[in-house]
Amino acid sequence: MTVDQIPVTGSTGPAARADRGTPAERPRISMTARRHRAFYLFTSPWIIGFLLLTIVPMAYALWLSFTTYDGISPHWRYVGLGNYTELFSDPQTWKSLGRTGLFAITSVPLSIIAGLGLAVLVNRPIKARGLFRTLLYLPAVVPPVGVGLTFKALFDQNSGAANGVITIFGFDALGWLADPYARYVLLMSVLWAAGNVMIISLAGLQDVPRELHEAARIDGASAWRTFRSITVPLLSPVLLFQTVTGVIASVQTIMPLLLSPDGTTAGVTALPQSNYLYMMHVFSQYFALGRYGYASALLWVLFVLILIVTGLIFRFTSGVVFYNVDPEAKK
Amino acid sequence: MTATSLPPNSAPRVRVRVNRLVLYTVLVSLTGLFIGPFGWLILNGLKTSAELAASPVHWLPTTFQWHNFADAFNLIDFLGYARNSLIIALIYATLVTLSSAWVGFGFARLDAPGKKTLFGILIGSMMLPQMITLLPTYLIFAKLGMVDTYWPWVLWGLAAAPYLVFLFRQFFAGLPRELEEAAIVDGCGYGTIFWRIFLPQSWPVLSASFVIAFTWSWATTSPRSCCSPPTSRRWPSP
Repeated sequence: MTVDQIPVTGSTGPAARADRGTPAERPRISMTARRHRAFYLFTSPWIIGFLLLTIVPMAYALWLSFTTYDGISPHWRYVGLGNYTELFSDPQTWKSLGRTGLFAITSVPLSIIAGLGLAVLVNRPIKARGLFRTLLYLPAVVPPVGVGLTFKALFDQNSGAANGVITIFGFDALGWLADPYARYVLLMSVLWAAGNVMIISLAGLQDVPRELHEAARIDGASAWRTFRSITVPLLSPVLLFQTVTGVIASVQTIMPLLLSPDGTTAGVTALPQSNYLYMMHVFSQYFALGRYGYASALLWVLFVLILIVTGLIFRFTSGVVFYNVDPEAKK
Repeated sequence: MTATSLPPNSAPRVRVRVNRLVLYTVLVSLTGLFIGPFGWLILNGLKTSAELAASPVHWLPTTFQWHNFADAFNLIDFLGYARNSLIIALIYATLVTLSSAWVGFGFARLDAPGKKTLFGILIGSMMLPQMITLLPTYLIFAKLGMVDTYWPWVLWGLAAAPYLVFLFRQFFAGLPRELEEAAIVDGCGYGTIFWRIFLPQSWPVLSASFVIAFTWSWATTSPRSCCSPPTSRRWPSP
């Protein structure tokens, strides 16, 4: 811990003090310099780690995206923007991108609505509140691999509970994990984890000052009006955070792979079409075809798209989101 | 609010009771929907493979195949995989908690030119899609011969996690300034201040951070689990 050894002042001997300004200002200047040094010392693990473990891999991917590198053949070469022009003329890119967009704009609002609804429900004075909260949150801690296996068991064509229920009502058993229905199973597997949104919204709900609700009640506001005009605005920073992280998570989800019959990266080419999302396109190029260069180009396009979409979300919500305390206005 | 026009006492009470009935019905059925899948897994775990393949569905196993659960331990090296998971989770959670606290202290209590920019990058990096760095990271670690070792987890641990840095920063920023001023007057360096004064006060955050980091590395699909490939396979991986 080298910070310990940084002296408080350069030299503290009484002889040195005479030729160095007034005693009052001297320690302050060296204190500032010391704080600056200490700041970089303290933040350096993150700075170095970020450079080595994030910037370097991304730069490496950028370099690869200009080549035909496949990990095996030594005869790879630089192709400039070749991968990018191929990518934009590949119909699979556009189709998978469209499906991914559709998945994001359905799954994100649905999980936020579901999670917020659950939060409001378990925020009421009910019996066994802790138990209900725990049980509703429980699925959110299941690792995605577990979610995939669970949903494959639930929606299996022969032995799945879903087909068991619908055949009771006289419908034919459906091939849930195959083409037109696979996308709904994917959506349900995401909604199963709505407890994540619930728990974060719940924390936000508990921060809403009680006086505001009382004032609204005295003014004769209905429950819905109170929710819309008090609860939602006060929760809006939390909801914005949920939206942004939700979109980022949903565009790079690997859940379709985990729901596929094979469940390994080798099975990525045998996915039902409706679940062949952009990330699956990347996986099939990366793992099934070993086209590291082309897949890196796909990843960089995705990264730029995410930046644009995140920027747009912030731009369009800047007037809507309400900050009780502006975190940056403190100083 | 229409209750005022109804006869007092009886009607509102009935209404409240009906409301509560609706509320609990909704709650119980939703909860059933959410934990139902777990029940199905347990039921499936007690069936024979013939029952599992049968169509139409066998709702309940004819005889409970309890040995299935024992087999799960014996047919694969369950405990070995669990041990791998545990080692990785412990290494990562311990290191990342300490490094994030260290970095968080810097952002909370110290200043330097460029701090604001760095903090912006830190927050922004939380939104960076992990998948994008994963595949190149794997290639780099493979070149360094670190795939299938604990080293990637050590490095990720030492590099601090933005989310946890933010957590610690918020906590440290709330502690009174007198704490460090007194220590500076006594001639303590910032390292000592961090280690002796701030860390001992932050048990709640330290444990929260440890738990969060532990679950990340223990069970997340964490794309990163790709860096601990087949020979050291951990049981949460596919």
